[in-house]
Formats: sequence, C-alpha cells, structure tokens
Amino acid sequence: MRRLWALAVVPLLVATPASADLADFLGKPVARVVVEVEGRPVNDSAMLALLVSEAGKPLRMRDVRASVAHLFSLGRFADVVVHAAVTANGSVSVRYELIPIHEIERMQFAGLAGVAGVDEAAVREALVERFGALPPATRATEMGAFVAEQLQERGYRRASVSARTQLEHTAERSTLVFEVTSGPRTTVSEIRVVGTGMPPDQVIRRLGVARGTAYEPGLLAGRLERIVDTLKQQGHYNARATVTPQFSEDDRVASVLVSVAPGPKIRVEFSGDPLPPDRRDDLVPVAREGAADEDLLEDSAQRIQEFFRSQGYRDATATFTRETQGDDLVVRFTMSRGPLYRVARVDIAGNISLSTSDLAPALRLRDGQVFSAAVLSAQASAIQDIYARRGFPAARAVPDAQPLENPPGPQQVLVVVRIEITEGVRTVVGTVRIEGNTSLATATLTEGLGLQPGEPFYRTQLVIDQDAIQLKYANAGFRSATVSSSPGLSEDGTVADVRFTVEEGPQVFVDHVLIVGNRRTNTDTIRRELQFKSGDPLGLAAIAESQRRLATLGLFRRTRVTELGHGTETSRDVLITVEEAPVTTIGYGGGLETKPVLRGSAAAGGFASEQLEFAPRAFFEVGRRNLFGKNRSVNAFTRVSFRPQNFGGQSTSTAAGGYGFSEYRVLGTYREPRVRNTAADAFLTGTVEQQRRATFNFARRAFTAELLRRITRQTSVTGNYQLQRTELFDERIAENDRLLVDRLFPQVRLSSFSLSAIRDARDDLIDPTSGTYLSANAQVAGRRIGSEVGYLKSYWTGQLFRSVPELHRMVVATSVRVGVASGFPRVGTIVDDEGKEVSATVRDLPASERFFAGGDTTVRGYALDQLGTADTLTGGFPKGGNALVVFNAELRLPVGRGLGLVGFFDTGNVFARTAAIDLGQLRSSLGFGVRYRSPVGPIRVDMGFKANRRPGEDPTAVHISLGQAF
Amino acid sequence: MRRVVRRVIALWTVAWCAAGVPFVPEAPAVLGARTQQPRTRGEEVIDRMLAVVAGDLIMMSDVAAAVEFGLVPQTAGPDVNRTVLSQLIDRSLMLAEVDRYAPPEPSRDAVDREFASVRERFASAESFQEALARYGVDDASLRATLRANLRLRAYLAQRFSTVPPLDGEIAEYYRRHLDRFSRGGQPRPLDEVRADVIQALELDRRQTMVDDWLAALRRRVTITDVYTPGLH
Repeated sequence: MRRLWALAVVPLLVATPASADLADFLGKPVARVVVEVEGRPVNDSAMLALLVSEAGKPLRMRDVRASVAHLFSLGRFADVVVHAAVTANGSVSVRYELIPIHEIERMQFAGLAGVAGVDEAAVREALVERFGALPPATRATEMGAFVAEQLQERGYRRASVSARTQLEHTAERSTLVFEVTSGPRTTVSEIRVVGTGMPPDQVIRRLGVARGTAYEPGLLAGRLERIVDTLKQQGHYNARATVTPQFSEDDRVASVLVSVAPGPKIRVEFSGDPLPPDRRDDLVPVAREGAADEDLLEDSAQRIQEFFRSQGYRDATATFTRETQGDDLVVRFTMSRGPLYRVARVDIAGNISLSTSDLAPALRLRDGQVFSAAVLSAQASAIQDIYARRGFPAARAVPDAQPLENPPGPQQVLVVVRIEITEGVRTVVGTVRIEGNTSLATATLTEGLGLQPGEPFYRTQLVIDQDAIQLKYANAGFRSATVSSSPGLSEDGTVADVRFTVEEGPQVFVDHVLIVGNRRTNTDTIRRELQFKSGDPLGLAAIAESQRRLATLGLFRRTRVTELGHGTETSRDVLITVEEAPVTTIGYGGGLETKPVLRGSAAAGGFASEQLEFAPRAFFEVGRRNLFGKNRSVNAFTRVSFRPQNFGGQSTSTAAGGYGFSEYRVLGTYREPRVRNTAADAFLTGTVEQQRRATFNFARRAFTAELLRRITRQTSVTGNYQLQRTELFDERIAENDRLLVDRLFPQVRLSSFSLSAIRDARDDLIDPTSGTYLSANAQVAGRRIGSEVGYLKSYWTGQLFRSVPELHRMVVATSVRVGVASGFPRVGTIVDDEGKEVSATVRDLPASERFFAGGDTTVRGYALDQLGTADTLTGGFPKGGNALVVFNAELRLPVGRGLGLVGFFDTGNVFARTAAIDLGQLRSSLGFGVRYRSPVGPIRVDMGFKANRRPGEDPTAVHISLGQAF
Repeated sequence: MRRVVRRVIALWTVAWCAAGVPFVPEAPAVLGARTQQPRTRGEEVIDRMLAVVAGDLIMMSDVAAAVEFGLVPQTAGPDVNRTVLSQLIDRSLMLAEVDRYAPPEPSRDAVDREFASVRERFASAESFQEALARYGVDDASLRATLRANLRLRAYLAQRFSTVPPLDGEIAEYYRRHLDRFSRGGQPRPLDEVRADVIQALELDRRQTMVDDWLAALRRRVTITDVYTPGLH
C-alpha cells in the first residue's frame, strides 16, 4: 500500500498547469475551507485555528497568505498549496493541501552487502552524524551522494548510489532506500616512497599498504598524518608528506607515490640571560604548534621581550638566529635583560580637582615595585578615565619615568615615575533632550539614563545611554529604530546640553504565535510562559524572557523562538519550537559520610566524648513530570544511611552491634504549578523519616502543604502549613535531666504555619562564587490549630560570596545564621522524685524543633550537635536550645583540575533562651579543607581545630561530605 | 549555469538599487500556476510556498506582486518565477543583514515618492487597489516594503562605496569592454563615453564586492527553496 502511494505522487509532479484569473475567486463568499494532508482531511482544531480564511466571508488573498504562512511555519510541511474552485452557486471552496516533510525514519541499503571493506553500520552512523537522526526526505539525493563518497573513500572509485524514498502516509515518515552499485575496487599495483625522513620500509609498514591491497584514500590520508605527527614529535616541525596516486584507465589499479619530506630537525636553544624553563613552551610555542615559521619565531621573540619588560627589565631585548648544523636547524634565541628597573617613587602632579586618594584605584605602580612601561601607560589611561567619569572629558595624564642618577648597583636602576595631569574644564550635564520620539514618551526613555542634569558629563556614558534608548525601542518592537546623540557642549565646555535624536521606523507586532513540537505538554502550559501574545509589539526582551522561562520549566530538551515574516514588514509570526524531555527521571547514588559524633551516654552517667563515624549512605529518586501536559510533577525520594548500631555506647532500638538502617527519609512531593491560574506554585509533601541526633533519635511523619510565589527572578516568598507527629527514642540523657517538654511529650503532634522570604542572588546554587543569599522564616505552632505544643520560631540567614580575580579567583564566603524561638506556656502533670503527680509549666520547644549546632555545616571544629552552654549541656551532651548564633568565613582557592583548598573560621553556639544570647560565649574553630569538583557537586574534606578547647574535648574534628558547608 | 543567472540577477539588483529607478516589467501571468492535486472541476492553485530565507517566507503571490509592482529589476527569462524568486531570496538575505546594522532611516518623502512611482504603473486608482487586493497587501505593507528597499539601497551605497577609478584604470576598462561602448559597430571615443565607462567600472567593482558578500550570506543563512521549475 505504501508503495502505491509513492507511485500515486509521481503523476502529480508532472501534471500540466491550468491557468485561471485570480479575480474569478477573490471577493466571492467562501462556501467551505478544508485542510488535507495527502488527501486526508485534517480535524486537528489547533491546526484549523491557524486558518484565517473562513467560510461565509469573502475570499481575500490577504487571509490566504496568512493561512499559508501559519501552516508552513509549523515546520511539518514541505509545501502548502492553496486551491480554489467556484461552486455551482457562485461561492468559492478553498482547499489547503499540506505536503508533509516525510522525515526519513528508516534507511535500507540494496547492493551493499558483501561489498568488501564497507561496513553498513559505519555508513549508517556516518549518515546520522552528517544529516541527523530524522532528516527530511528532500535531502535524499544529497544523502545518496554522501554514501557514494563513503564508498569512494574505501576504494570504489566508480561507485554509484541512487537514493529512493518510500513514503509512509499514515505516520508521514519515509524509508530511504539506497541502491548501491559499487563497481570494481581499486587495488594498489605499485607503491614507491621518496624522501628521507623515514626508511621506505617503515613508511610502507605504517601506511599498511602493499601491492594488491585496496586503495583507500581516506585511510591513507589518516595514516600519513600520523607519520607527519611522528616526525614533528622528533623535531621535524616543517615535515610534510603527500600521496599521489596514478590510476589505470579502468580505475582498477593505482600506482601510489608517497613523498615524505621531513625537513630539518629543528632545535630551539636559548642563550644570554636565563629564561625560566617553565615559561619557555608558552613564550616559544614551536613544539606545541608543530611549526617554526618566520612569523611564529618573530612573535616568540616579541613575547620574550615583553615578558622581561613586565618583570622590570625595561631595556630587555630578544633576537633569534637560524643556523644549520649538519642536518639540524638550530633556532637560537638570545636574551639580554639589561638592568632591573624599580620604582623609587611615584609623583602625581597637576591634579587640582581630584585628590591623590581619588586616583588611588588607578595607581598600580608603587614604591619599590619593579617598573613596567606597560603598567605605567595603563595607569595613565586609568587616571584619564577617572577624570572622564568625574566630568573632565579633556583631562590628560602624561606618564614619564626618569632614572635616578646614582643607581644602587650596576644591575639595578631606580626610576622616578611622574604623571603630569592636565585637567581641563569640568563639564556638567545641563539638559537631556530626546527628539523624534512619537511612540514612546520622553519620561519613559530618560528613565534610568546615566546622564542626568547636574551630573558630570561622561562621553562613554553618552554612548551607553544612546544604546539604552535604542534597546527600549527594540523592546517595544521598533527593530529598525536608530538613535544618534550629540553632547551639545557650550562654548567654554562647562555645560553639555545632551540631545538624543530618534528615528523610530515601523513598529513590528506579533501576528500569530505558533507552538510546535509539544506532544505531551499542553499548549496553554507553554503559552502562559510567553511574554507576548498576538497583537503585542514584538520586543527583544519579551522574546529573551520567554525563552528563559520555557527553559526553566524543565520540560524541554531544547526550545527555540523564531520570528517568521510573511510579506508585511510590520507583523511577524512567532514560532515556538520545543523538543520535549523524557517525563520520567530516575536518580540514584551512594556515598560515604564521615563525621565525628558524640559517644557515651549521659543517661548512664557518662561524659560525652567524640568518635569518628563512617556511614555509608544511598539514595534513590524517581520523578514523573509534565503530568496531564500541565507541568505538574510527582517525585519520590528515598535516602538511607547505614550507621553503626550501638556505636560508642549508643544503642538503637533494634539490635546491638553491626550496621543497620538507623537513618532513613522517604519523601513524596506533588507539584502543581501556577495553582488556580495564580503566579504561585503549590507543593504537597509527605515525609516519613528517622534520624539520629547526638542525644536522641526521632521518627517523624509529616505532611506539608506549601505555596511558593516567585516575586522576581531572585526573590520568592513561601507560606506553608505542616502537620507532623514526632516520636523520640533512644534518649541518651537521664530522664530527670531532660527538659520538661521531652518528658511530657515523648510523642508530640505539631501543627504549624510558617512564612519565608528568600532572596537568592548567588551565581550557582551548589558552588557559588559571587552573590548573596538572604532568607527569613517565621513559624508559629499553636493548640488552636491542633498542635500539642505551641511556639514561635524564627530563623535568619545571610550569606555573601565574592570572587577576587587578582588572587587566582579566590572566593571569599561568609555566612551568618541566627535562630530564636519561644514556647507558649503550657501546664502539664509530671511525677516528681517522690512519685507524686505535680503540675509544671512547659516553656520549651520539643526536641525535634530546638536548635542544635556543631558539625560539618555549622562549627566544624566540633562533632555533630556538640555545642552548647552550661544551660544546654548535660555531661557534654546537648539538649538543644531556643536560640542559635553561627558565623562562618571561608577562603576558597581553586588550584586546578577540579581541586580547591579552603581555609575557614567558624564560631557559634546554642543558648537556652533568646535573652541568654551572649556573644562572649561563642565557641570557635579554625581549619582547612580540600574540595574536589565532582559532577554531582563539590566533595568536601574539612578538618577543624577547636580554638578554645575544654577539658575532655578532642582538639580536632574531621568531616567528609558532599557540597559546600554553606 | 544557475550561478551565472544569479550573478546577472544580482548585478541588476545593485544597478537598480543604485539608480533608484523602478524597472518596468512586462507582467507575466505568474499566478497562472499549476494545480498540485486537483480535486474539483475548475480548481486552481491560488498560492503556495516557494522559499524561506532567514525566517522570511516567500510565496507565489510575493513573486507575482514583485512583478506587478516592479519590486525587482529583472522580470524576464526562460523561467520568470525562478528569476524573480532568486531576486527576492537575495533581497531577504540582504535585508536580514541590513536589520543588524540599521542604516539611516529613509525620509517619509522618499517613501512617498517610491509609493507614487508604483502607483503610476496603474491606469487608475481602482486598478491599483485591485492589484493590492489580488496579492493580499495593503498600502501600509507596500509602503513598508518600499521603505525596506530604500534602506537596502542606502545600506549598499554605504557599505560598498568605491573609490573613484584612476585614469589608467578607466582606459584599461574601456579597452577591454569596447563592445559595450560602441555604436553601430564602431567604438565611440573614450572622451565621449568617459562618464559611462566610469559608471560601468564602479558598478562592476561594487558588484564583485556584493557577489562575495552574498555568497558569504548564502553560506551562513539557511535557505529553504522549494520551487521546482515547471511545477509552480
């Protein structure tokens, strides 16, 4: 059946034209409009919606053109043909015939099997690499020629390939059949080697050819290249090799002449003043480039000279000579550094309006430093720029360097650097005018400009502002708007009446928005991320932002926004092409966590000591996104840690000894984006977990409903409600020493609302090098909303990251975390030491909600949760507190190959009450660490040293984990 | 052969743009095209896609409109559709580049003059309006097209300005192209045709530069040309 279709198309291609006058159709009422794909009517409402021609309206060519453009823009059709016919009642029927592209889904080769030396799979792979996985059938001829080339490369010089497409009309795909006639294979009849670089036998052996073997030009060229590489590695940098075949008339045999010209062996030598060995390859890249031509050598000499001059050898020279020694060519660089120049002092003169401290950012040469003319010149330019920014457009800074008469030694010269400044007049912006703007208001255009009345006039800012105005026009759809500027300087140069002149040109509007490529994703899901709609001005910023938003949806492998013009210059269709990503994601991994933990048991009257614990851990994650085509998603995350049972005297509730699943976390999340057509995303999360802390273990089941509203790209607010049930077990503090709340509520139900605001301006979430992170959270739990314990809790975080390019891109990272909480009083009944029931007032938070500190993400000189004051520690074991303060500072230095070194200072503590916060009681640690940038984030090894160690405490703590500390 | 045809067309384009004189073509019945798949008795093809250049769609009605409104210089040849389409493809290629560099905006008067010149091609206002309707364009979009042509012309003049030729170069060009400066089979004296020689020499030089530029644009820009001779 498919073959019959192919046959049916052929007569159509040779059908004879029939002429008609358009006037016969135009203006007549349209009786019906049909769309057909290869004879099949199209009922897809989305596609039909692209038609502008409508039944009942007069036929207009404008509508026809727009319809053709929209249908063609879908990218699925090789042609769109519009037919019209006058019906019996005088109206017109219109038929849009769509001819599919027929992507090639399958390729078949006839005549290739058994062709010696040709691997069908390799040819297939080469075709996919060149033409893509689903090339259009229109490229069939080109693909046939490519297959013929592949055969010719393998010695079938007379190979011919015809490519025939078999169309499939149901799926609009096709099969491409290559009919291959390979012809005879050319064999090598003779091989001769001329040249001296390598013994002929060795050349022939390395080429892998002999009399009677197949002549394969591609293979020969590759092997010959390797021979040349070998010669270059031996120092023959000018080596050349060629293969010249001579074919018999019938192309059956080839006489091959191989010419190897190694050229001389080139040696690079250095004489005169020494050049550091580790800089030689960079400055004279003869071996790296595999070349020693005149240009490269001249550039090398120049680089050596500049290198020495930048080191303070102002008079340094470097020359090179070529000398033939036997078969070798010796290139010798001769360096003469001359004396070392040092800066004796720097004099700045002529600066009246700006003080020397104002110019300090530009001053890079300082007393005692080596002198560099290039640095001095850059310094003068920087001073001029500072003046220009302050409104002195004519300011000039002329550098000069004069040697002192009595040098400290024969090889040292002291120079006095002098920069003579001529300030000129100061220019202030008088007025800022914009002319020629009719579509955009002057106030809109002047908003945010750098040049404002009363401010210094800076010529570079004039150009920046000119571009800013032009961008505003481009964002409003005026793509060809031009803006020119004039500084309008007064005669004495003190006032600049700045004028911008606008030539607006036409405004371009969005005609239709076409969305293609989405099979599972609902079109509305895509459309609501677009920052433009039909009829809007086609602005640059709107397109860029739309593309960004589509990318952040996470639903697509690729997205492309293309503008399509069709006749009129003032409107364009916008085609959104998406390639959907797989909907199911699976992630898994494992690792080893190493950290110090407290051992011993206060319940047994012991004192806490630290011990290193190794804990294998693993996670598994499965997610399904784009549910119902609406970008909804569900995720399930499971993490388990295998921790030693009965480690260091701590027993878990299960068994003693060995490893067990003492920690786990199972998390299921459902995400509903833009809930009820608002800008907020909703999350429903269920959690089941068990965790081990320093003085207790807990098991928790929680349900959370959260709304997240992104205010800007960096700022978001979230509100959530959480209902949880937490059970404490394996407590390692004697009951009488426990806080009252833990004794009253070993199992507690908490119901809370919380509100958070986050501003995240970091450049990278996992390993930031610049930016800031600020967050504030407030949580309230109360009995009126179903909680057994009520409290107020707030947590604040501020982090700052700065890169220092001058210090090998070192990153300075700092963090401040503050937490405060207060429990609502609640009266409960407990049994006292004498066995009597007494009432007591609870004011603390439950253990699972109290603050703890110490460990790999807080203060790294301490074990997990180890910090506390006398009020929050019992025998060295932490009970947790209602207030927390933690400061961190880190220097992160990349050292190459993904490795980095870190030095850190951490300080912090946990306090029983907010009022008990005492910065004098902060406990500190200093330390260093190593980072390795792995594909899953930085692998971290930190070693912290306690700064004010107490008796019984270990001096150090080692942590191995994933991700930065903060 | 196709390259030669393109070169001739491009030469005409530049000459036309440089001179600013609309070429008056003999309007062939471009839209009298063939039916791809006739279904109904009397069914005719009234429009279809021909090419896509840098996001610009070129349809059969564009080709017909270009001929009728004199929007391209060359409208004759063995395959008129091919000839006109090639010029429209080159125009789109060049306009994509023009948009990137924003040449001076043409004055409203200049666009009005171009519009009037097109309007004068028609015997009456009615026939002009009928022609606009026939190709699905209106006054505004025709004006926008003419404005784009003026911008293109300004861009070419700005980008491909040539230095005045030296006397020796003029003499050499005249000697090599005597046939172009002859009348009745007899070469005209150089002094008499000097201005024509200079103009032709400058045009040639510009054309070489434009050719190279267009060739580079064709390599860089994706062009989908679905026109099949005899089918459309």
